[in-house]
Amino acid sequence: MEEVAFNQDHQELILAGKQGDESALTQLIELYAPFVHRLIFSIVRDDSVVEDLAQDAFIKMLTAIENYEFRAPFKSWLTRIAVNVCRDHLRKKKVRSIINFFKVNEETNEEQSFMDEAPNPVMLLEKDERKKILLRAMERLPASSRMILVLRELNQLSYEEIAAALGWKMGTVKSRLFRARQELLQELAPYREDLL
Amino acid sequence: MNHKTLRKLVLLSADGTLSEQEQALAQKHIKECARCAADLQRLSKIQQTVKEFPAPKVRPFFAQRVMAEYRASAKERFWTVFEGIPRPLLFAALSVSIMLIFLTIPQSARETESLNLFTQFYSTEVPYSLESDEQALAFLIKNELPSTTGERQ
Repeated sequence: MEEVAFNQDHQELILAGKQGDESALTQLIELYAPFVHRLIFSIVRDDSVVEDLAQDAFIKMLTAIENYEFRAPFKSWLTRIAVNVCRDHLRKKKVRSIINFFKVNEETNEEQSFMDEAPNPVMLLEKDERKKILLRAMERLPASSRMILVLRELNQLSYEEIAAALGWKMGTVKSRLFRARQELLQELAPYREDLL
Repeated sequence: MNHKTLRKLVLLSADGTLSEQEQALAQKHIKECARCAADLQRLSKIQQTVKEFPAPKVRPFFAQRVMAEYRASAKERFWTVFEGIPRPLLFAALSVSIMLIFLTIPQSARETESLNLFTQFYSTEVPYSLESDEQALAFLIKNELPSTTGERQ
């Protein structure tokens, strides 16, 4: 219910934006810019392209807002646009999505140091290391599982918003979220429980 | 209810979207199944860690830059409409448009324009308003016809 109210709060701005009111469109961008930046960053994990991709997403939004008909929450509609922009970017760059920000040093096999037999427990408990472990685990998941975790856990989208953004039914959202969480827990199984 | 269904309820219970009955079943299962209880605890830790992830900052005037870029791209989009049209067709359409514009100029406006040119040519005051072709003809006869070179007589 809270999410619906959130959408309705901006209904006047959206309607004015549909009529081409530039001030309303600017306000809409200002309102949703932090969300879109975070969403894009959580998918591409490359802060050097976040602003460019966010700009692309908003320009697509401005081009298409005339055709937006309130069938889905505005946030979901915008999420779908941003996700498609990210997909296009990743397809073009042929990179895997989520871990670029925290690159693994393949030569030294740094990842081994986070396993149970790791020699330095103090280091293991550092916050950054926990984030790295989690991101690596997410990177190993199938794309659909990764996407739903990004939307739900990293961007706090409701089930309804995820369903509208990805074009899934509510039951599908629940099943896939359950499966994604199971897979993530499996990926994290080799790590000590006190770590994550 | 089998273990998989109960486990699903447990792993989704953190979102607060279960019905009261489902929540009660999940709670009961957590007490009975150590593995599911441990996984729920781990999931909670994961969600806490995720909240600590850095969020990119939005640079000042981002919205204004987007709007400027949108305006520029809108202009480009306008001209790209014509790119797909064959040139001869484009010229034909342009010619027809010019003809239509010319034809739609009111007759009276054209007459007024002709009268202005006529007055400028002779630099003489027109003694009365020329409201008809007959009057114009009479004026021309009275003041002699212009030469073919266009110079004043």
